[in-house]
Amino acid sequence: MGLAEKLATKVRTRPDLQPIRVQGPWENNGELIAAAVIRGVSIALTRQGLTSSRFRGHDTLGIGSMLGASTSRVWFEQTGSDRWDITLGAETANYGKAIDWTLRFRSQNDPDGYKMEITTPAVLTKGGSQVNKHSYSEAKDLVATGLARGSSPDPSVERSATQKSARFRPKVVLGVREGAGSGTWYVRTRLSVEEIEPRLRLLPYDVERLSGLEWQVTVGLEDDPKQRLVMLRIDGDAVQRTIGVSYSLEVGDDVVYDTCAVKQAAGLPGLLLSLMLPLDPEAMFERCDG
Amino acid sequence: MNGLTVPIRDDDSVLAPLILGFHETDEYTDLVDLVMQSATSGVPHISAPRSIVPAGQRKAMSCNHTRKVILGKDRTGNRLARLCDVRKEDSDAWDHFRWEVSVKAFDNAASSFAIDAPTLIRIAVTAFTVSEAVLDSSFCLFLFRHLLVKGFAAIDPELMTIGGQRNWTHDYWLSPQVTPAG
Repeated sequence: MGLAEKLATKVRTRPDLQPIRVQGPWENNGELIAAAVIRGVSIALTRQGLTSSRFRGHDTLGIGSMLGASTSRVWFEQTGSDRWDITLGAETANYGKAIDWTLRFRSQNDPDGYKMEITTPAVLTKGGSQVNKHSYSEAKDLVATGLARGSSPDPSVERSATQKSARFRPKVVLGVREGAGSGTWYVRTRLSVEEIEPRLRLLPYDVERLSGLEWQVTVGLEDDPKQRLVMLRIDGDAVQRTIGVSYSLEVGDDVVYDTCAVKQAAGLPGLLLSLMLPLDPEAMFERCDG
Repeated sequence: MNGLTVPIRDDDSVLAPLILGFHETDEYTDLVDLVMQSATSGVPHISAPRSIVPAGQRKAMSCNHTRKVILGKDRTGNRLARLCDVRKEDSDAWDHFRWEVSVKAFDNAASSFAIDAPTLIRIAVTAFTVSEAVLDSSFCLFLFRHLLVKGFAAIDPELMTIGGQRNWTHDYWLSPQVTPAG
């Protein structure tokens, strides 16, 4: 029994090469379809009610495995544009993976077309028998079939997972510390106003010129009932300019809106500096309100 | 889970790639990096219960860890963002992540996408964990994807976007408990 099972596991997990149907460049077609197929299979696996155990080691009576068993988890990972791993198992304390099996898919461009090499870098056996072997075979077959067809899989799998996942919300959010809602910073640069101004437009926020050398930057989320503004003002002489960054944001009503706006406002001087430094390596910023 | 349903469009997938047609370039600054920094700072940090085994002990104990988005790069230099579990220092957290987003900008000339823009930006979810068809910590992913697209759109008002989920409403983060930041 043990020997037959070991042999079956060996046969089942031996490397395989499957054709991929690709229309057009790999990055614009094959990679996107392969990723979608493998994502879909990853999600579908977790709908089967599989269980995995965190227990590892000699377990004659199976008590350890039973006590450490929980609903299986799947890890999907893409490396570069040509490698995907699906891992089935359970999560251990300290973030480890108690792996039942890992399937690795790596695309190859052969003279006669694209191929997907399928290997099994990790497999768990008990008494010679592969753990969760049916899901392993099914995942392998589903990916191979999807790739051979060369079209995107049924999008409803991802959509329903998205819908289901969207019902879960964070239980505890870390708020901003007291007094973080206001700040005054100076970015010092030798760049001229004419050089600074077009660079302000590259900030990833809505930037509006008010008058003269003043601008307002809207940070935070767009459905925030409060308007979260950061003021920018350029001052200086013939040698050096300062871009004053100041904000005073009201906090206390909603942790999500508050935190997003305050963190983005506090990060703004750093972004401004990133825009100035390539043209003025001596540019710097400092906080001026303690 | 509080049982509320959230309005997501039928064609939204939080895992599907986003392809952006971007019209701005800057010879001096990595705009992708700028937008990723902005989006990262916009995702509030959350506290998540974890079971850990302290060094020298055999029994697991419960504690709370901070989960936050951290930026990095892959071996080829592409920008990555990961939602990481921070135990002590950010630097220790990079390998302990719930999901990963890769952002890559490339020249549109050689692509076959029907987008009229000089630069394409591909935002892809390159790693995630899932159990019972529920994606781990996806509420942070919903917001992060939204902030990325919002950031690129602020720089380029003519930004063209195709692909999966990028909308966000406050319902995704309804009424969490609040813990003061440490």
